[in-house]
This record gives sequence, structure tokens and C-alpha cells, in this order.
Amino acid sequence: MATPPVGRIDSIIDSTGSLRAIELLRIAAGPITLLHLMPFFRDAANGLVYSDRFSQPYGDWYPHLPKMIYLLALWAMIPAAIALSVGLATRVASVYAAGFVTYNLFLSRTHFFHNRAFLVVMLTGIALLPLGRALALDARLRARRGQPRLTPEGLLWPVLLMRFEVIVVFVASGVSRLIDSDW
Amino acid sequence: MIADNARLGRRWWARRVVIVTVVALQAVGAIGAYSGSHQVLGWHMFSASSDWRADVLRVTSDGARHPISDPWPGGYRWPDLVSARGLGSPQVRQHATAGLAVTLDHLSHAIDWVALHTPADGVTVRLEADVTYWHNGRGPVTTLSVSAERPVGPP
Repeated sequence: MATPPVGRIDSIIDSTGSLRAIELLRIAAGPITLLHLMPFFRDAANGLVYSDRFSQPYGDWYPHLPKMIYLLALWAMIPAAIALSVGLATRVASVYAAGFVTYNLFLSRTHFFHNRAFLVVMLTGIALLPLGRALALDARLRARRGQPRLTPEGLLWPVLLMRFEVIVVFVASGVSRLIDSDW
Repeated sequence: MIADNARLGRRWWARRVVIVTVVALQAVGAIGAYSGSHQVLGWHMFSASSDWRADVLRVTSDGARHPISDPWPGGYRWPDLVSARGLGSPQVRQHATAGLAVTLDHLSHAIDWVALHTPADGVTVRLEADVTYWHNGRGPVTTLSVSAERPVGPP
């Protein structure tokens, strides 16, 4: 007997599988994030933040940190991105990286680029997954402490969401060109 | 056991709430990108082949117009005030990397921001941006963007 559609969707959402490929994405995400933040680091080294120059907030409701706290949060991205890549305190590092990059992107409309938005999508997906079980210092430290090895597996729904976003990027890009008469 | 079941039940629902929220936000972003000038989650990845340049001028209380490259009361320099998205050198013809609508929107807000954030300038009543753009190679088209009026007087 065929599984009803709702049951099929449930089984897809609750499916588990290997996250080893996403561990590779996690390793790459650290340097990519640092590269993305490089202009902000450069300004910060000169004592400047986004609000010292023209910026265009999305709304008055969006929270703006005091300059010193923003600078601390920005500089903290260096150890966070390194920790994300090497897989040390992976969950903390990934959640912090996703949180800060998202917050920073939406501080000003001038910060927005599609590739930066895609980085936010990928970092959020990484933060939602139980990573650090393979190709990570966390896994080595567990082994050194004599704790049982965790298999690099987990629920796949964040991976499905990341795939969905990849598909949307291609479809939306293609459709936007198809309906543009100049193309 | 009951507590574990409740926790698992909450996670089961949380997963579905997150998925539905992401899909809904993405749908709003993808569809809304066709109506607004900004395109968060719109994924229109290929920018048009459009260029722009602008003469940004300070208009003083006596009606005189001064290019922003001229000495500025208070010692301000345009590139120190505005640097994002090519707006730091508006006099140079350049590609509208984020699209024309977004670029012109940024420029319009930039002259407003500068008008509000130059308190040591006691003579400028407003800024104007005389914009020329070429949309996908067509044009040129000119348009004028004017900042909000600012009070004048000694700082």
C-alpha cells in the first residue's frame, strides 16, 4: 500500500543520514566568512564601524549595538571562524558565526549582496546541524578523552532546506532573466 | 519518559515550523523582489548592464552650488562620509553592481544622510545629486535627487 503524501513528507523531514559532506562545507565556511568580513575588519582596525559612514538601515526597529560591543562582536568572529573550520566547540562557533554574519548583513542595505545572503543561508544550515563529529578537533578530543565516537550522522532536514535554497537561487535567477525583455 | 516524549514532540513540531517559515520567507522574498527596489532573498543574481555617474553638489544659502570635491566647511570629505557600493566616487561613470534602482536609492539616501551628519557645516542648505544613467546600454537619462533641507547657521 502506498504511503500517504503527509506520511511521505514526514518521513523526509525526519530522515537521518551522513553529514560528512557538510563537514567539508563547514571547513570551507570559516575562511569564506573571514574573507566576507575583511572590509569590516579593515575599517575596525581604523576605529571605524558601519555607523560612522553612510548606512541605510532596513528599519528603526533593528537593534544597533554600542560601537565598542559591536567591535568586540566583530573581532570575536576571527576565533569563531577558525573554530568553525577546525571543528572546535563546533556548535557554539557555528551558531555564533551564523548569528553575527546575519546580524551584520541586515545592519544596512548597503551591506547586502546576493552572495553574502547565500553565505547566511549556508551558515544557518551549518548551525542547525550536529557537526563536529568528523574532520573536527571535537571528534579527536572526544577520542582522546576516551568518550565513545559519535557517528557523523543526523537529521537531514537542514540539508534539505539548504538544497531548497540552492534550487531557488537557480530558478529565481533564471526566471528573472527569462521575463526581462533585454535578455 | 513522558518528559522525553514531550521534548521530542516539541522538536518534531519545531522542525516543521522552521521549514514552513523558511519556505514562506523565501517565497515572499522571491516574489517581492519584482516590486521593490531592494531584493533580499530575490536572487536576481545577474545585474543589468547599467552604468551611472552623478555630480553631487552642495547648495549654500546664497544659492551657489559647490561640487563635493571643493573644500567643505567643517573639513568634511565626501569619501569619508560615503563609501559603500561605489558611492564614494559618484563623479566616475561606473557599473551599477546592485542594479540601477538600488544604486539610485542608495545615492538618494546618502545625500540625506550627509545633510544630517555634517553639523559643522553652517552654510549648506541641501545637497543635490545630478544623476546620469545608462540602463542596459540605453540612454543617457538624467535625473535630479535632492536631500532634505538642513538648518543653516554657526555650528
